[in-house]
Amino acid sequence: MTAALSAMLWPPPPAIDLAGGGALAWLHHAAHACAAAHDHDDDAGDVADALAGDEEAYCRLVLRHQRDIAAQMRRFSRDPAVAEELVHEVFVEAYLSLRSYRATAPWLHWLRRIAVRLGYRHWAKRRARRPEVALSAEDWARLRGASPAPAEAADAADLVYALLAQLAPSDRLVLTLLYLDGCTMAEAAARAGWTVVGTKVRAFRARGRLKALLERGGT
Amino acid sequence: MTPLDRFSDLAAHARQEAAPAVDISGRVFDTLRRRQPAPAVPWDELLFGASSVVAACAAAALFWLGSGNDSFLPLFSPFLMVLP
Repeated sequence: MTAALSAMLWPPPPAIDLAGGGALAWLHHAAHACAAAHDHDDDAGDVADALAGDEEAYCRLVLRHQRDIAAQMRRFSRDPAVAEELVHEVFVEAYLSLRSYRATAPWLHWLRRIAVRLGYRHWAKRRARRPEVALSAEDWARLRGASPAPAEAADAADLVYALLAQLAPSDRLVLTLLYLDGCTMAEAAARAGWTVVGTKVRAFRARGRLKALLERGGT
Repeated sequence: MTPLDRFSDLAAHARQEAAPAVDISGRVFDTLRRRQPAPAVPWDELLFGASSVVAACAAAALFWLGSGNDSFLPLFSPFLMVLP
């Protein structure tokens, strides 16, 4: 019982296969890490220049990270215009609170925390007005596996987004961070500003609600 | 396959979605300039200036009333005395 609960709360990390495609993935990961370290150095300099009033330096930061933030904000709205507005809002908010950046972590991590906060606020506002997306009977059949899954990644993302939109914003956020952004528990906790233990509890409860929704949905 | 496994597979597939191309670099500073707050009114300094004027007027009026003279000469007499 304890082992089952432990496995549910702390799933084992994925094993890395260094043979064949695994080695290529590892090299890709290493190259990505090198590029990230280089970006981190550039970011630190540009943040310091931006704080000194250099607008060009901040524009360089925006150009370097707007694609990552756009991919993240797409999780918060499937409407391209709204997602773009959210990206814009993230960079405006980041500039206004640039002095609070302590440079203990890469700038992108700090930026992602702002993005999560703004995205969550966007969901909470929308939910207060009306339910966002409705799922058709066909969508429920796809979600349960009765119909084939969408071939295109964008269609799968639409389906997952519509399903998560049925949940409360806090459940939606933790599931989005874990399943769509591919965060670990620690990363999800850091982005959302929660403790790791609190995130595990939220994830456990959110999975339970998602399971119940999938079992009773569309009936 | 459980519903959560199915969801997990769908989410992994959704993660492959290409990031949309956006360029907001030109708009950020326009927004920041638009949102720049109006210069703050220096209320402390205004209050200090106004209270100085009021105090000076009150002192002059008191001096004038205290002199017991209907002419305005006593009002200016301190300045006349100081001038030489």
